[in-house]
Amino acid sequence: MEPLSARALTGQLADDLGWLEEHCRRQSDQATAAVRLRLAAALVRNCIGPALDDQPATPLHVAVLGGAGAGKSTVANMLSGVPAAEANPQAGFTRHPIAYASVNGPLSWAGHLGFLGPLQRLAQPAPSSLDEDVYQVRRVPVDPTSYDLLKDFVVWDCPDMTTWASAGYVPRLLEVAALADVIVFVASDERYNDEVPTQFLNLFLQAGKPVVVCLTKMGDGDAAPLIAHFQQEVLSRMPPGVVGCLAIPFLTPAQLADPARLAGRYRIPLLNQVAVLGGSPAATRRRSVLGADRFLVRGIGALLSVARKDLDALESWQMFVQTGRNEFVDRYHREYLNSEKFRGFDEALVRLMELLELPGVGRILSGALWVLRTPYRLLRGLALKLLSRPEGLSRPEQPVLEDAFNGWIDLLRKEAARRADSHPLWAHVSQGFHSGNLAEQARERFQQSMRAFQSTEAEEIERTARDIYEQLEKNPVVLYSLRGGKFALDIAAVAGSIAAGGIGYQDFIIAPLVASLTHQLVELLGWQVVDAQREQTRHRQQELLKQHLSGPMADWLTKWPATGGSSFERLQLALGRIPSAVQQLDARVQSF
Amino acid sequence: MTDLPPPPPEAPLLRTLSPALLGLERGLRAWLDGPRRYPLSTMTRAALEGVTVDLRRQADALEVDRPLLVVILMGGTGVGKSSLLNALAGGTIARASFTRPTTRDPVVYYHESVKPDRLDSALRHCRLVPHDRPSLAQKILVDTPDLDSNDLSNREKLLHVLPVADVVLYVGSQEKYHDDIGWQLFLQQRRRRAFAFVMNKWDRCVHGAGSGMRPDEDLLRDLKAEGFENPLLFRTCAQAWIDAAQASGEGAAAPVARLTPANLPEGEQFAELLQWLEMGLNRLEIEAIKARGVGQLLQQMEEYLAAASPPDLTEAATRTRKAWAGPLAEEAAATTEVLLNTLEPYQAEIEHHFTVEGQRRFRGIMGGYLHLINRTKYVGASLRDKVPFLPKPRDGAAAPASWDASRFARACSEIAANRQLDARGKALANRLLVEADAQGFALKVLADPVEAASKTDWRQRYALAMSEVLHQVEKQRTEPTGPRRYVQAVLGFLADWAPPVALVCAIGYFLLKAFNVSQQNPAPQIGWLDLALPLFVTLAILVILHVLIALLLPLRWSQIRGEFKSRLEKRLQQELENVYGPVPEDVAALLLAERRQVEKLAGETHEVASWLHLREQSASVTGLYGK
Repeated sequence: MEPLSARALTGQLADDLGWLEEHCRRQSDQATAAVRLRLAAALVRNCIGPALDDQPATPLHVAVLGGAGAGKSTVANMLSGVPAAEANPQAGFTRHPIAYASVNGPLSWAGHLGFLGPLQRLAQPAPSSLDEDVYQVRRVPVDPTSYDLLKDFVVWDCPDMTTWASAGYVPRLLEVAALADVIVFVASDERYNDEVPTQFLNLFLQAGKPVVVCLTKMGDGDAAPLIAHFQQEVLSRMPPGVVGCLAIPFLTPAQLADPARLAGRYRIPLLNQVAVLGGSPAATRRRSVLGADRFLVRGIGALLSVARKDLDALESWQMFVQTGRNEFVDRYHREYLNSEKFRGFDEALVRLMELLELPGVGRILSGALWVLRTPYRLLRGLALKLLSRPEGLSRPEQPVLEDAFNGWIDLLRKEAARRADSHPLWAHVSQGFHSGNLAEQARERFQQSMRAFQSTEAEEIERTARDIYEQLEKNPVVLYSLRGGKFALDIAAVAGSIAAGGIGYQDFIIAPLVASLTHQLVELLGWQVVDAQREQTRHRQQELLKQHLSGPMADWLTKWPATGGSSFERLQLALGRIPSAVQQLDARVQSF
Repeated sequence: MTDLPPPPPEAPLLRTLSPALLGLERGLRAWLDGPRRYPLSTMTRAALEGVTVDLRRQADALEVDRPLLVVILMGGTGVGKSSLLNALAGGTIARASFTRPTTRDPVVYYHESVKPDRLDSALRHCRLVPHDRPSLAQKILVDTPDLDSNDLSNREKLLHVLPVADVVLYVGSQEKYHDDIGWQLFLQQRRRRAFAFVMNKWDRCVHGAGSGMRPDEDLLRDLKAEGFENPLLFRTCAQAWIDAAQASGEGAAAPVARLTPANLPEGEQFAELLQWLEMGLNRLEIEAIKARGVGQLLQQMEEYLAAASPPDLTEAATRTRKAWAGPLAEEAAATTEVLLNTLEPYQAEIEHHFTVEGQRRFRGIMGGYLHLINRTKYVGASLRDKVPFLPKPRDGAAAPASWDASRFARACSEIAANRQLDARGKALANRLLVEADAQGFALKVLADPVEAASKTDWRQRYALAMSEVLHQVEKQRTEPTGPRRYVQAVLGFLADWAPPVALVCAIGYFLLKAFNVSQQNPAPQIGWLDLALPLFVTLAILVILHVLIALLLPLRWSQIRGEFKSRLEKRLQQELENVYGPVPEDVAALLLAERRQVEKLAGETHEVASWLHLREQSASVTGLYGK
């Protein structure tokens, strides 16, 4: 993969992670994984991306997060010093993130491309209960008499993650949590040991966010034991990273209405905790980016494991394709190749023997020998006809291939129909067979490949058979020595036998016999050579089948579920790209 | 609630129900444990298992004169379930504290007249707190651990006691009244149990708010969306009542917190809650709730049974069988071709065998002659396996030393199976299943039997079919019918008589010639020709007969092959039809039987349910259930 620009890289990685998140959301048992993936995507988009893109480090962002009704809006008001957030008893009132920025500060920080991903900025002010993928920025006048956190920070009031409606807006709060340099986690005296908010706290800490925990609503006297209990019960099981833990008891309506002045004794420690974390914006931003990077690099395995079921299904599909392929090859082998004789090679043997006869004047001598061997030839022909067993007919190649291929497709079709309920992938394949034209497409491809295979095969056989004698023709030295050798052998045998027995009637029998024997010997040798070639061709044939037919078909079938714009194509793309993108990102962050 | 309760029914309604429920439970249990072809999904199975447990539980609980009503408090940690129970009890019976979670084990608050062993087994092992308040005599209040804290074992304990509940008191606070975990549990249980709602910590809900809904209104809106038009919702401040009781000094001694605390927020309804529990839930209401609970259980059981009921595949089976005829016929033709091809190398042997069998009826000279000729004609075939250096077929069967049709057929079937038929069999099963799928037959029930059928002893079947068909063809050859029969009889007669007669005549002629000494011919010349004449004449007759036989009763491999092929194909098609054909209908019949069983169970359930419906009380408990 060629190196992408930082912006393209983060954009693509965030997209891939986001797609995977969507994919998880479609499966009911993967909700937690979807949350992780969304946070990862948001970290890439909102934390690492802008930093690599040289966006300014200021202002820093502080996000207020927690369970429904825990008092997030109240805490947001304490941070800004202005009762701008609607703090009310309806649990889960806030439905989209709201930023509180100083009326004097710049607003360019929200202009970064891809800021908060899919969340659109609201142009008009709207109540916090607007349940849409939006965010809004409220610019608040700061009380000049008290400490102003907003000169360095933007305060984000976020929706909850506990009510039954939260499934729809949890992604929005994750988006802001990823953006934040500091997280203020609000937990009431009812909520501090709840499972769901605790899981989120754990997640934010894993993402390297510094967290200030605000315990709220307890009676005044219970503050200290409650903090102790919280630290022992909850924090002791968390990854390190919590910076502070402070208590804000139940506030009176008057205190709620003017947090800057009337709740100062709770507000000041909170502001201190937050401000300490934003001492140097550049260092703070760097810490956020490194934390996010660590979360990605360490968590990549867990993030991708959500696709395990899909990969398992894909693997079992591949396994069945492979099984079908093996059966296909096996059937071809047994039903055709094993019993195929390759008649072309018999002809080659005849040609080879003809080549070994003497040319020119020598032809007369050869002719004489040929006449000598006539009785032997006739006898041999008769004996072979009597004795040799007729061959069993074997089916021609094409129907064998077609049958075997249909068997392959039927196997896949059956398995798909049988497993359609077990996984969407199988349902997709089954659908392809039923209403789509998977079988027809496969058959068409097969026909094409088969034509290519058969022409290559015919060529190959012809060439190999021809090579047997053409090699010899091209090499006159060997040819002539072989011819000479054979002739010498014939002559020597005939002459030798005559010399041994003396000239007499018996020579009419012995001479043809000996000449036939030597010829038979040479022919046997030639037969050996040709037969060895025949066997080799058989082997090569298998290779050809693999190369032209079974291999490409298996590849095509294996990949089919992940092509044609199906979700499995996107899944494979994402799974292939994410690890390398995270690696590249890590390298850039480390040198940042 | 009800102003004028109608007179109680003559026979205790619920008690009559108990044996009926037990009967249903037994039926369902037996069905669940029995063997089944149609697979139950894990979810349905779990649901039905749950139903059997509930049936048994309800039957046990109703097997008394005055059934007990179990009211369970359910809610997140810190919403004040324990405080609520303490306030209701007027003393500290459940621990309440700011540490979360507080309650680890369920607390059961019950009347002392109830013997603990009458309690449901799920409750017996909880913390038992007896009381002596007659107004709560028939009711059991249970405080449960939370459902949302980090301590997951608490949730399990809650889920363990929840099935016992007749009424669930869904306790929420300003923060948690519609938290997802509790809400999902409510949605899951609402079909089975009565629900009443408590908004505890009411004081936190009313403090000033310019925006947003008041939590109780928000909750009522949520409930309306779920079909609860008129739910029972009590807004309470349990802690205030406890504080007031303690401040009054009576503490645990006070049987019921009767002391109304000062500065209660407006709309506080703890007193109403207490009133409802003590007086509102009278005997009639209890019976109505119980009956309604049973009714809902039965309704659910019917739904689950409907989901578990196997489909009726009879029509699909007929269609499938029809659709299979084509592939099966094709397969029979292909298999026949394969088997015949394996016979091809042995054509000489088969021809020989048939000739020998066909000529067995010739006796005497003709028999001897034909035997000799056959020997010579087929000498190659009998020698070929004994000549060592001849090329042998790659996977040929060892030719039988002496003719044995069944052994020969077995060997051939073995070769054919190794080479092609095994793979074909597997492919056939797949082919058939694909066809069945196209006809709408569910493969999950059909795949296994079809694959089992493809794995039966096909080699043996093929061998048997071949040897039988060989015998048939042989019989047809040796005992022909129609004109052939007469031809054969005539030839047989000729062959039996002509050669000996010719021989005798020729010898007679020779003798006549040799011993006919007459004046004209005193010493007859007997030449070689005369001596050989009987032999030649006989031979000529034999040859003529042989030619006649060859012409009139020809016997060539190509003919045998054709005959053999058509018979074998028919035979194999029948074989395949016999094995595969009935499978879909068998499976469909099996599923139909299972379906009937389920329908019977559902029918019984429905009967009990409608019986119950007819006798249901008119007490106003509908608000507890929603739509």
